[in-house]
Amino acid sequence: MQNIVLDAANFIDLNSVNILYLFIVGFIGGLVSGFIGSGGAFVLTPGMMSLGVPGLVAVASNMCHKFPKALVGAIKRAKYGQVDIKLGIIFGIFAEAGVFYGAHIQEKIKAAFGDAGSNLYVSAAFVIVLAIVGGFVLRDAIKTYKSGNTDAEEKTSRLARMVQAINIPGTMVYFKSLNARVSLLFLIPLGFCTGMLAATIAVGGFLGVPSMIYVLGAPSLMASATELVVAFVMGLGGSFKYALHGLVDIRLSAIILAGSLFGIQLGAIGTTYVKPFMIKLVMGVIMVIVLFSRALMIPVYLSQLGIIQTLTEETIKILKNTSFAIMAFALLSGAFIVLRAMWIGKKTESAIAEKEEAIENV
Amino acid sequence: MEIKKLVQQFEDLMSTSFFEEGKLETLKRMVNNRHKILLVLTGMEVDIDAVKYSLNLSRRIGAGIKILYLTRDNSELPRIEDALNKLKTIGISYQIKVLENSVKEEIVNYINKEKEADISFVIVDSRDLGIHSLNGRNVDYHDWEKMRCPLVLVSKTPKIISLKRRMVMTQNYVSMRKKPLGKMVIYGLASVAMYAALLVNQTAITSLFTRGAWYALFPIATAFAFSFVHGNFAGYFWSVLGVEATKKSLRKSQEEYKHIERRERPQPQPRLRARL
Repeated sequence: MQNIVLDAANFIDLNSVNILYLFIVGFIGGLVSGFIGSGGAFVLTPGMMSLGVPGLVAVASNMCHKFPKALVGAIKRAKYGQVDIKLGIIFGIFAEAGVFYGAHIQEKIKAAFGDAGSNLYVSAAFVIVLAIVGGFVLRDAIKTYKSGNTDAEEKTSRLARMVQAINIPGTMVYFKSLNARVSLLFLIPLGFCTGMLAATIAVGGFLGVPSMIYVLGAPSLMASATELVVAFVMGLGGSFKYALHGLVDIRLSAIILAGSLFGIQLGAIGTTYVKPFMIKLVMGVIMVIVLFSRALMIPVYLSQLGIIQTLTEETIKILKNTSFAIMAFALLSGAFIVLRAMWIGKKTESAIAEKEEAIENV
Repeated sequence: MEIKKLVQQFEDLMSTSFFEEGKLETLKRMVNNRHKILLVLTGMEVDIDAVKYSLNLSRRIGAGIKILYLTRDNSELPRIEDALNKLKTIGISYQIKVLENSVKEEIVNYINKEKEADISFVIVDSRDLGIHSLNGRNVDYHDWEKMRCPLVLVSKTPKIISLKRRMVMTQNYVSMRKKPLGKMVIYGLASVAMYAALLVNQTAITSLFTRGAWYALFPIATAFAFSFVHGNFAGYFWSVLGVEATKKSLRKSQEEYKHIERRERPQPQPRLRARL
């Protein structure tokens, strides 16, 4: 750790281009997080590293921007009645445990297989989790869209009904988002896995939000808003842990915050203009696109580990750049869907307002 | 105003104003509400403004409408009765009275007599209230103040502009809300100052913040401070630009999630109290 601290002390120089870049990425990341409850980090961390920030400092600074951002977003969405604070905090505490365990596993893998091994583990986690969960979420969103009744109230999944029906005395807690009592024993693995994923790929929400929707039975608007509370709890603990080792570059965190606090509030406002299935759609689209981005990198790590034939420098460079471009594309697509949905919602609302005005002024 | 035409317009307005809700239930629930708005009609040309205002208010506060029709002409009665009967079919009750005293006295008498009916507002569009003549200053508000609910006077007379404005504000409360420009500027300046301080002193700050151990509290506290100041600035920034949550969602937060309360508690009925 000593070496890292010395490295960290030599934080990068900031110029206006760097600042603008971080501000814009922060804004877009914030917009998506405000809408689906998480996201953004997967572009921010590699984005900072591309500026020359050491990996751990990038992770630490990203985390230190994440918890205040999630806090602002959660407060905003609580005003719209979308946040289940109790669920968020309990889920967040279990997730925190997952974060520490996930980080521990990361260190072990790094010690045993080196950087390439650790990267391969991260990419494999990305691809497997996003393929299963992302595919499921996207399919569900498309099914709702095709069925035509996008206005209909979301149905609680069969799995969630089963989970809610199981009564384990002494562990039952009532949650307002579920409008039911659920055993805490179900929350432990869900929270823990969310935390582990957060420690591995930096976006725990990709597991947290779908598990709240499909396993516990929360409406998607409430699940994505509650994820912000989870992100706050996880982020606060994680940041403190990194700050204890002096790894947080507060300048980077503050600059990303400058953009993301604009973004997250816009994203939160956006949720009030859209139908619930849009949350699933945005999340599913981002997850599936990111999946391809990470899949491209797997051959690079495999070759570095000597498992497959060594790739040429040129090929590695192309794969890396394409992967980053696809990742940025994922975030931009998410942001585009959010902004477009808001625009349409706003237009519809002002048309109704005009009609009302016409009635008033006939 | 011709009573038939007025009723026709009433029906038209009603169907348009509930059109977007698209639900008959909303309408039914509204007309059956215990709380009513008393709409006083006097057969004048300006009655239609009072009708419009009542419909808007009833939709906003979810109260039913009761009509008190005051006429000076006995011979008119059957025709008025016939026309208003149409409204009864959609659940709006009415009472027709031949004016014996002034409009003001009739209203006060009606309210005092009809204690059963929970009248939240009286809406009237008449010049016969003794308010106009005195330029709104030395008016005898005494009787009105004794009345147990507020009265809204709908009028186009420029003399009572202040009353009219008060009324408009209730009508367009959301759209007329003041934009928080001042707050945005204050938080904006504070935010700029914080960023400037951070970037100017970056060497000193980073070296202090990265010492580890209990110095870890510095970056955490700074992050909170930035989220408060800059977060408020960003929030007010969107408000000033007019980017705000749908009104629908604000209503939803109070209504839609009410059913998830575990115990049913009696909800106090919202009451509006205002004085002219």
